[in-house]
Amino acid sequence: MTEARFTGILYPALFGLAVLFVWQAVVVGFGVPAVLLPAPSDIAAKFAASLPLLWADFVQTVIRAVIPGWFIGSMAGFLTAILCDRIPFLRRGLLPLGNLVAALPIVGVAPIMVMWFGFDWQSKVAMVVVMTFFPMLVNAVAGLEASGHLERDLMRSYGASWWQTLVKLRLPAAMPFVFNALKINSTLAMIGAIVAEFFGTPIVGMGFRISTEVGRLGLDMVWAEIAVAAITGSAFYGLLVFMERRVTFWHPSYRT
Amino acid sequence: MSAAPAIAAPAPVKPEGHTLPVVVICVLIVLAWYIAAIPMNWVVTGPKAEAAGGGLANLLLFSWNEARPVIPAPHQIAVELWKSVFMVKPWMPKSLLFHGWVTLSSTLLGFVLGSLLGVVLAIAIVHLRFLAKSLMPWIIASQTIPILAIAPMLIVVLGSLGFTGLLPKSLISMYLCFFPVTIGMVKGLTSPETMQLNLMRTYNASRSQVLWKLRFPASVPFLFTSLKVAVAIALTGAIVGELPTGAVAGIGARLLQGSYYGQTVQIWAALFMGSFIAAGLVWLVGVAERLILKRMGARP
Amino acid sequence: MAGPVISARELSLVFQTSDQPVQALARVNLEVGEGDFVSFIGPSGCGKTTLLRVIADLEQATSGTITVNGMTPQEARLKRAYGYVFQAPALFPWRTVERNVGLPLEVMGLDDAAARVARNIELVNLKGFEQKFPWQLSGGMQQRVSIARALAFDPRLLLMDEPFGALDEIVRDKLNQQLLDLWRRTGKTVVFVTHSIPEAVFLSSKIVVMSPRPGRIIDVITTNFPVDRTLDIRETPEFLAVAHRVREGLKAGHSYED
Repeated sequence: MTEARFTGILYPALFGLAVLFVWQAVVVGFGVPAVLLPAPSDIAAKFAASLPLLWADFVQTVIRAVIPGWFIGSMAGFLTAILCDRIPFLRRGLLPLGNLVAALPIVGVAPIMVMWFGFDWQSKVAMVVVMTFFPMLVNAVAGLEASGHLERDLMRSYGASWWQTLVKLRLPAAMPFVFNALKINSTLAMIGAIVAEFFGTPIVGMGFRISTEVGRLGLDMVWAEIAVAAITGSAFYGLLVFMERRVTFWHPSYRT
Repeated sequence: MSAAPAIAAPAPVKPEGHTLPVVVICVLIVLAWYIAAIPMNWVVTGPKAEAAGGGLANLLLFSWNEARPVIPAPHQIAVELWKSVFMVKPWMPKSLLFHGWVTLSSTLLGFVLGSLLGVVLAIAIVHLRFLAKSLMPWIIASQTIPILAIAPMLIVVLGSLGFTGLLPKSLISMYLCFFPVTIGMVKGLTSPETMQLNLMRTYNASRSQVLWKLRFPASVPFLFTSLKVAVAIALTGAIVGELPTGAVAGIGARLLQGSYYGQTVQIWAALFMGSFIAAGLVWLVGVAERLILKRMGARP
Repeated sequence: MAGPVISARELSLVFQTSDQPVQALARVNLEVGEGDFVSFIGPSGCGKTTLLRVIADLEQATSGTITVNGMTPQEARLKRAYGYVFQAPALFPWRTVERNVGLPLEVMGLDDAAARVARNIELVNLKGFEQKFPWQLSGGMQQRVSIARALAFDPRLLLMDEPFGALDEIVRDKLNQQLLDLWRRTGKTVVFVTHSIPEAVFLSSKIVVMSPRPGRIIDVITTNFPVDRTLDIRETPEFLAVAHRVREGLKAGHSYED
């Protein structure tokens, strides 16, 4: 392992451990009540003791809502971007709207999604789809424009069809932008699913658990759920970074 | 190298217009909305239309004017907005201006704090390599924690400590918006070319001089791009901050109330109000951006 | 086939810009025969790249006629009549050298791809680099891959837009020699845009001197150098005489004035 990679892992790890240490010391040393801020040791204990419950919440929120919603929303945004490419009128009309919608508080549609799709995972999937559609649309459209005009002239000189130019040139050139959106969408998907659960859910799910445990002041359980959310989010993001590296290995950002 | 001439058709070259396509798409959306309202509201309005004697006219009338619809018609939302903004005194609890202001105040506070934090962090990261290596991964990881999910807990904890109202919500907004500002500013502060940095070295400029004379001006475009993202996210944070504790004031509170009492039109009106505020804030940042960039001599 | 490969009559192209119309080409008359190596030389704005792009159907003329292989430029393009080499290599960074050279063969659905690719990589002296990616190669090598790619589908016509402009002089000299040898071996018709007088005089059998405002042809010079010439010829009196004539043409076209 090179020195850079070693310190790249060591420093953040040391920093994290230092924070945990200070946290534990402050809570124990100052006698901070657990209803205010539980110690890391308490959280770890609660985590270990609640594994079946945490797993059930994970399945409801992540497996049933986040992943399908992220996939459907991103795919829909991507296909719409290709459609916009084919029909310039659509692109000129939809893109300013897309930029506008991306700035709006989309979380606000959560109660409406619950009203339309019911309490169970379907409304959460709908919520995630709405949140992930526009970032992918905006990024994919930008990505489809990213191929250089010399390269496009080259394909023209071969008498290549629109489809051939799309598949051989513009899609590969768009991949950095597509992955940027996929990474952003992974965070948005987690947020969307959990917040949608605040508005109505069967008695399982990470958002449900957080809101009920907050009401009961069972903050160690809340932190345990947060830990699950953080681990899931990081793993999801990390997986995307790995795939991005494989697909866009050619991008200048990988060369120092 | 001689420059390749611009691609031009034999006809005069016009810049692509955006107004007409946007207007057309909006009109299509409104039309589709009205049409979709019919089947979507059928559950509630179908029986009523039948009872009134059936027929298309009755169906349309009931579908588009239902008090508790599955989806309100656009004019219903417009009427509700009008009522809540212009027909009520702005400080009354029924006024959307009142709720909008509550949310807006925590948004602005959180936005200012978060942006300052973001800039300070970025400057620290760029100048202290140790900090860059230990902090950046955690900052990125911090965004994978759905902070909006922790909002409830944060509000409750701070509430039991005696902090209620504006401050906890602003903290959520601040946490959400410091990240894009940090990332954008780091990019911007490191954007000057090596040649320009070398030039400053030949002047024996101090690090602080390089920061203020080169890095900071170079980062202004990046800063404004992130500020637009940050202000929108700060608003979202403020809204979500109102959800968990059953707050009675603010756009989020209004959404919650509408959801509890089945007041669909109220939900939609609150949503539109929040959207107008968001669009307005982003527009304001854009105006500031244009003014400042113009003074700095950037190309229009 | 009989007849010139390229024939342009009274060709004109006017660009509408936001200020005022720009006459990029004004009544150009030109004939390029089979096996010719023709250079277009002139300063920026003289229309040499525009003329090349009209031949390639990447721009359309506003008046006059032009035929390529006896057809309109569009028909010629759709029939894959020419290979185009740009000012920059324009290689796809996610493809190896081998797959970059094979790109036109994929698009056009030609078989025997592997053999063609191998043959053309060898033609530009890049054997052994098939699995490398573009960023692993120097600028000169990337441009050679671009030339191999243009030759891969064996077009009779090669259009080159200042292909060596971004390279340093020593690499440029080497590539000039290699291009000349390649032309000799393959017998292709080459149209070559440059703003370097020595390069134009060294490579061409016919030099078309152009000047700007409006873009037009000032002079057409036929050279008679031996086909197996090397770079040493650049110091002979015959070479210098032709170069002088080119320079005179450029001056006559006010190319050296502001």
